[in-house]
This record gives sequence, C-alpha cells and structure tokens, in this order.
Amino acid sequence: MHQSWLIAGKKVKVKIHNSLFPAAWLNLFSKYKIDGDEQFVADLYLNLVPQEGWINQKKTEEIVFEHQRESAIRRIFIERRDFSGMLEQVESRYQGDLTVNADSDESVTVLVRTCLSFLCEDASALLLHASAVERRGHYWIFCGPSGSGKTTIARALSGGGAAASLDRVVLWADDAGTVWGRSTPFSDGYGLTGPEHTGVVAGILHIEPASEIDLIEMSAGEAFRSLLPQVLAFSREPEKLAHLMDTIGSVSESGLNHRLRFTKDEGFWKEIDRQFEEIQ
Amino acid sequence: MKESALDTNQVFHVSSRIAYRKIGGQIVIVHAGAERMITLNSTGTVIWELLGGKTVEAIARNIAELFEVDFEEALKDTVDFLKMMHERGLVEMKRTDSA
Repeated sequence: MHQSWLIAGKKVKVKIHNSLFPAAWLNLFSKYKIDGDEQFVADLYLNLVPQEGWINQKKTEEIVFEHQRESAIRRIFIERRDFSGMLEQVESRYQGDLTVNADSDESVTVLVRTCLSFLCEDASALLLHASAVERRGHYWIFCGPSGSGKTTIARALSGGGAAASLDRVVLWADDAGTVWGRSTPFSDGYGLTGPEHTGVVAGILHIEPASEIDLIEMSAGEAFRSLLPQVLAFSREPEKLAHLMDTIGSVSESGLNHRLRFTKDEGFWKEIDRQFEEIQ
Repeated sequence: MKESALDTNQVFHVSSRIAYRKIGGQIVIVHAGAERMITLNSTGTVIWELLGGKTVEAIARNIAELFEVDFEEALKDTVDFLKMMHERGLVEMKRTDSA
C-alpha cells in the first residue's frame, strides 16, 4: 500500500501497514524530502506489532487524505479491506477545515496526527495533549493548556524517571478500570518510540503554576472538564463523540487525577511521594 | 410573564448534534460541530434530565417542587434556561398537539 495524494498542493505519499490499536505501535518511521520546488514527498511507515487479542487480523485499513483545493474541504477516508482485497466499506472520517499551513511540514503532521486520533477513537483511547514521565515502571501524566509547563516539567524530571513523552500521550482504560498510557510517534519531535513506552498510569497531574508545591485531588467532574479540552482532534460525529466522552469519563473516574500546583526544584518528587502517601 | 414569550406547552428534546455525559452529578455537553464544552449547574442538570417528554410547564412544576421555590420563579428559570440552550443549538423544539 503506497499511494500519493495532493495535500495543500503538495504531493504526499502515504504508506501505512497494519494501522491498528495504538498500544501495538512498535515504531514509526517518517522521512521527508523536497523534490524540486513543488513536490513534497513524505513516506510514512507505521510499523505495528499486533498484541494478542487486540486486533482483528482479517482486516487492514488504508487511510486516504484528500484535499479539495476549491472548497478547501479535507477528507480522510478509511477503507477497510479484507485480505482478498475486497472493499468492505469506505468511511469518511473527517470533513472541515484542518488548518494546514501549506508551506510547512505541518500538513503531514496533521495528516498523521488526525489518522492516529481516529485509530485511538476506534480503540476507545484518548490522544491527549500531555507529557509523560516514567518512574518506577509507572506513567505519570502531566496535562494542561499550552504554556502550562507540561513539557518543561517532563524534561526537568527526566533525571528522576525517563521522559516518555513530551507532548502527546495516548490514554485508555481497560475493562478492569486500570488506566494505561502510551507515548506516541509525536512525543519527541518525531522520535522513534519503542514498545517499552507503555505503562500503567499512576497519576494524571493537571498543572497549575504556583509558588509552592501542592497536590489536590480532583473530583471526577473537575478532571473531566480539564481533560476534555486537551483531547486532540475529537470527532464531529455525535455518536463517536459520545463514545469519546465515555472514555474521558472512565479516566476521570479512575481516582488518578490531581491538580498539581508546582514550582520546579529538587524537592519535587520527594513532595509528590509524601503527598501521595498521605492520600493512599 | 414578559420573559415567557416561549410557549410553555412546548416540549424540548436534546439536539441530535450533541453528546453529553453526567459526571460528578453534573451534565457536561459537547456540541459536535462547535467543539465547545458546556457544564450545567444543579438546576440545569435537573431540567436537562426532564427533557424529552414533558412540557416546559411540567418541567417548571417539577423544579418548583424539587427546589421548593414558587412556580412562577421556576417557570421563569426554566424558560430562560431552555431559550439559552435553544440559541446554542443544544436543544430542539417539538410542538405538542395537546395543551
């Protein structure tokens, strides 16, 4: 599967293998080259390793990103095919202004990010504007609006635990209510991410800059209202939106959400540990 | 009442363009087109949950009983709330034949 489409006047090749559940992402490799002045070629390889029981091996998906210059409508189609190549279903998943800057790599970023958000949506997972730090085998998620310090805090804390993700995190709750986190191909400036970047979430910390460190448990409602605006590219289809809200609801009701008022200093983790011991 | 230009025999129902969820005792609504989130207070949540079959007047009677306020006051609040929700495309009107 390797096809070309015009995106914002630039030719984009997209190759996607087995685009399935995000937890199964093993690797993303992307490379770009400018071919002359006008042609922009991007080869995107999503190499996924299926996890047992998570996926339907009988189907594969092909994602088509279509740009209509005149109407400025951009559509993403996901064609589901069985192995014999028979087309089962063509489904338009997005219509509207995707706000792509034609003069930058952003169009490709938006394309892949949107496709990934659909995959997350299908899998009842959230593609969240958040950073993540791995510590003692658990994920700590830091979320908040742009400029709130989530990337800064993940970088600052990478000494105490590996910064698993700087800007994009996938979250989902399993049937037992355990919340899992995963880094994404866009976590670290297109850096490769490995299968080890999946872990049980120990806390979701909603950042509020302050002069003193403080950790306050959030109600499910507060967590829901804080998480929802950080979900990237949520669906415009009411039915899918309702499903997404269910997923946010499960994560909000997990008891993991805390408001983190923080100041960056050496005592950060010590304070976090102390506060959590009090809570648990 | 002046504020109640809206026919109190009308029935409102939730718009098919929105998704909502009750969380922490409050209704959170997202409009599928506008990508906007609205959280209802306790009164709004009760009114929301009464939508779909009851007339505006019947909803107001429920509110008056539940919150122990005058019917006139409850009716005004209910009408104001539904007008606001209607303007934002979150509820749709359904005319009833029976008064």
